[in-house]
Amino acid sequence: MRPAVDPHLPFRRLLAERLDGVLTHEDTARLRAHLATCPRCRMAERAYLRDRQLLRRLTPRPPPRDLWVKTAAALDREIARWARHAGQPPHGARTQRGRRARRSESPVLMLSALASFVLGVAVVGTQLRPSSRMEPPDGPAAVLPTPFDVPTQALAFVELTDEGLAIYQTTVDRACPPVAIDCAEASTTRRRVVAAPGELTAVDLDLHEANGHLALLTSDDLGNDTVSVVILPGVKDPTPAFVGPLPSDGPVAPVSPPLSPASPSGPPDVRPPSTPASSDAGPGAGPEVTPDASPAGTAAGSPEAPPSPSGPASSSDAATTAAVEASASPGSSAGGPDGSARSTGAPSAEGRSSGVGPSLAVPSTSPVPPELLAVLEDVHVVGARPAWSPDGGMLAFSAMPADASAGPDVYTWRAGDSSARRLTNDSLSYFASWSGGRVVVSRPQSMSDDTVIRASTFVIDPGTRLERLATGDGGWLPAIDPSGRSAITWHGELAAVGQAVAPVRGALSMVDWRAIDPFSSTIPTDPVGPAGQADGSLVTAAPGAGAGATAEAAEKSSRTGPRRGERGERGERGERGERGERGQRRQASPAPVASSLASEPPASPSLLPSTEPWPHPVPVEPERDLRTDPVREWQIHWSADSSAFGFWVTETPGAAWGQLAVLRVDPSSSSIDRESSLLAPTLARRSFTLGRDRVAWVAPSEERADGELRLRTWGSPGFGSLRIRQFDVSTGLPAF
Amino acid sequence: MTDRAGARACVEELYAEHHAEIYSYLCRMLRDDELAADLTQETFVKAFRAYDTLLDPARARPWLYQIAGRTALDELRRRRLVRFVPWTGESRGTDSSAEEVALRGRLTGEMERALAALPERQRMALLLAEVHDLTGLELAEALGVSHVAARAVLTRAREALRQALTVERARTAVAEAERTLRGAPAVSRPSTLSWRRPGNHREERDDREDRG
Repeated sequence: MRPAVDPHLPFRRLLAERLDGVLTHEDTARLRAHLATCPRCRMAERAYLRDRQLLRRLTPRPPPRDLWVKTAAALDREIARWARHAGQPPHGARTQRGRRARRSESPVLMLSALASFVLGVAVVGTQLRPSSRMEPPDGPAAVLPTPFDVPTQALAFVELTDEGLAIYQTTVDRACPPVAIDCAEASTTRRRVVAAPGELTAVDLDLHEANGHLALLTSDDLGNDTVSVVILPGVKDPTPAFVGPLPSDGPVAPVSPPLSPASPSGPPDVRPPSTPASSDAGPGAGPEVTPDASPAGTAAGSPEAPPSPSGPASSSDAATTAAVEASASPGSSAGGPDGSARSTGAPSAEGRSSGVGPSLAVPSTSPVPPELLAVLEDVHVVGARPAWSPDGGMLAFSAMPADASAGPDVYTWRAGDSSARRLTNDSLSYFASWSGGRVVVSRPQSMSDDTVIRASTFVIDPGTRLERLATGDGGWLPAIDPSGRSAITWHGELAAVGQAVAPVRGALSMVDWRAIDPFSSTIPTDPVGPAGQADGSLVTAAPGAGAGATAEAAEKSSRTGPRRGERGERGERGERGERGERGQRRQASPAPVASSLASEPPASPSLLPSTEPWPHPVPVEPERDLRTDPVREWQIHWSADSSAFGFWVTETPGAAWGQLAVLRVDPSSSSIDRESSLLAPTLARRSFTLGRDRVAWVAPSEERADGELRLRTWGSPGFGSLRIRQFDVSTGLPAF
Repeated sequence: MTDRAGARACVEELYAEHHAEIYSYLCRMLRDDELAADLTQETFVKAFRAYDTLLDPARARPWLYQIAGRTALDELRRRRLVRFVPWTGESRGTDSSAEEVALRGRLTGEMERALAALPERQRMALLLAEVHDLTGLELAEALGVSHVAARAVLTRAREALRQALTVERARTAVAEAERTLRGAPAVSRPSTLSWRRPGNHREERDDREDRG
């Protein structure tokens, strides 16, 4: 039996339709006739009208304030994905010529992203902020462009000027909603100048906020690098005004003479650095600190005055035990200036004339302004950027001679040292990062053939020089988070470039550092590595044995290097030479005489990444296609609480611009939280800095070709943005 | 690349203009503010992806609603959201006083619940037609159906809403009665007759409009 059809339904339909439009004449007449006799349908008509009214009274629901941020980030990701997959020329079209053409330019990806970014900014500026008077946009969901408070953290900006090293400190305590980035300016900026030689370009820096240790990597016109340090009292407290000379200055030690090109193959420095007396007794014990050994060609680095014997000794005595604060006492700093020949200009002389040190608390008179102390000169810095140990007491970096006569070694410097000390002697060591108080080093397992070069990870205790091979695959240059839990590293193909190795094709991933760190487990690992590497003898080697092994390795590499060079194709070598200009050597880079081979691996069919197992590597960029967009240079910074990391990547060695993103790490599972990225991939210059709850980077600017400094904060008030205009980003670097 | 940059710019423009209404629409479709925010974001990302399919920029609004509607339907199907979930329809973080919230909740709560009881497509049609003022072809486009089909859906939706509201009012009445019997402080509301107030209000307004 079929259900009875409601005879009123056709009329209800007509009633409803009449609400939304005009009925035909015929339907209107039918409906009217029915309504006259049907109270139920009359009631229904009233109900329809009433319901409509109720519906229309539903209040609009205000969107959350951070909706735009999330949407913009999602759009950025979409654009980045598109740019990677659709915006690139086909892989086959990537000729060497094409790469060469882009050498000094941003890659196509960057240009496209730049175009969209700039346009996006323009549109946001005109649409969401109709006028520069910061009127709220129309609509009920307008985000009012008012700044909101964020936790105070000082942003330093370091710039090399004719006067010296200018250090600005800007207190950042408020930010704007991202759609109205210009609603506030950065707070007051304080500036101080540290004596420094001119004609240098700041390349990278690391500022240890807690004790004001600043490491600076500079490059001169010839492309030679210098690693310098300066100790800035009061950095951690941005509130005192820096007017005039500073209250106290860091330890000032005589400048080291230039590194001798011959030194890498010289006798290794096997003295334990934990015995300061012995190291102070012979400031010239190592060949690299013997003034006589300095070649004539490096006249720029020759000291104006001979180092005072008493100067370094006194300052070293005070400070070698990493008592950094003690080393800043007036006594030690007063003894220093005599040896600070590298510094030039009035501040130094003024410091000397002041004589007696004042009370530390009085900022008015200062014996010596802080100055830039070169700890290693005329080298090529390779591997990760110079970085301070977690306590700020020691600086580590890796460098090779500027003439590329030998491969890189890791150096350390601590307050009181006259110059950086060599930690390794194998000419195969690349500084990766700190793991607690230990230095993490990446080494190529071989340099001798054209198969894929595998990487090993070593952890070295700088105090005892005890060295252990990592128990897992740490990839290349793992950046370990401050908690020591996880690391961001690079997996892929390495290729030899002269005495150095360079990443050719690979990508970043996150690994479980606890499973890799040989010092985290109680039992040292088997001396021979899991891959059966030849240099397993380095593991837990005593200084003497290690020196022997590394000397052998160095010798081996020095033999193999030229041979590889000879095998390189001539034309390719020439091109390589042109490409190997400034910037190219930043990341495990080739020296000027470096030849061939890194450009294209000889069509090796090897799988990517290497087939060696490692503990659960998680790709940082799962969407990245290694074939078309391999990561070849990168920068990784962790936040101090290990809750987030920022990574800057580029596929073009030496590129000024790359892609920066900041991702959150889930502390419970140590997994990457991709859903709530803190900064979606964005175009940025190489040097960026990650603070507690913020990131600062140089973004493209409509007004300035060099870009502009941007800041993004996160936390309970949502995302905040700030544009900091007062700095010249072409010559300076930001640091938290 | 210019196309993408242009698309991005246009989508940002669309966002500035329409994100609030899209969000509101999705809130009522999904009855979940956070999910609505996520899907609003998704809607604009999809709009960016599919920007080439927007042939006439003047028709961007129904086009966006169509994307949002499909996104919501997909999500609803995926999640199999349970209907009749108590949802006051009030957003979190509103700055209204508690009394205002309660009053508005009483007036709109029945409507929100009745809406939630409707089949999704009918709910979409009603929201688009009455809350978001899409008419005729716009409505059809937003629903992704023909003009005729859109009117049919809307017609059925009105009747379904009327019946759903009747049910909701009956429930409210029963609840009030139970509360009164239990001796709880009586709420001064003639629940079963409450609909008359907006009705009378409407007539007064209509009169005013007529006079004006």
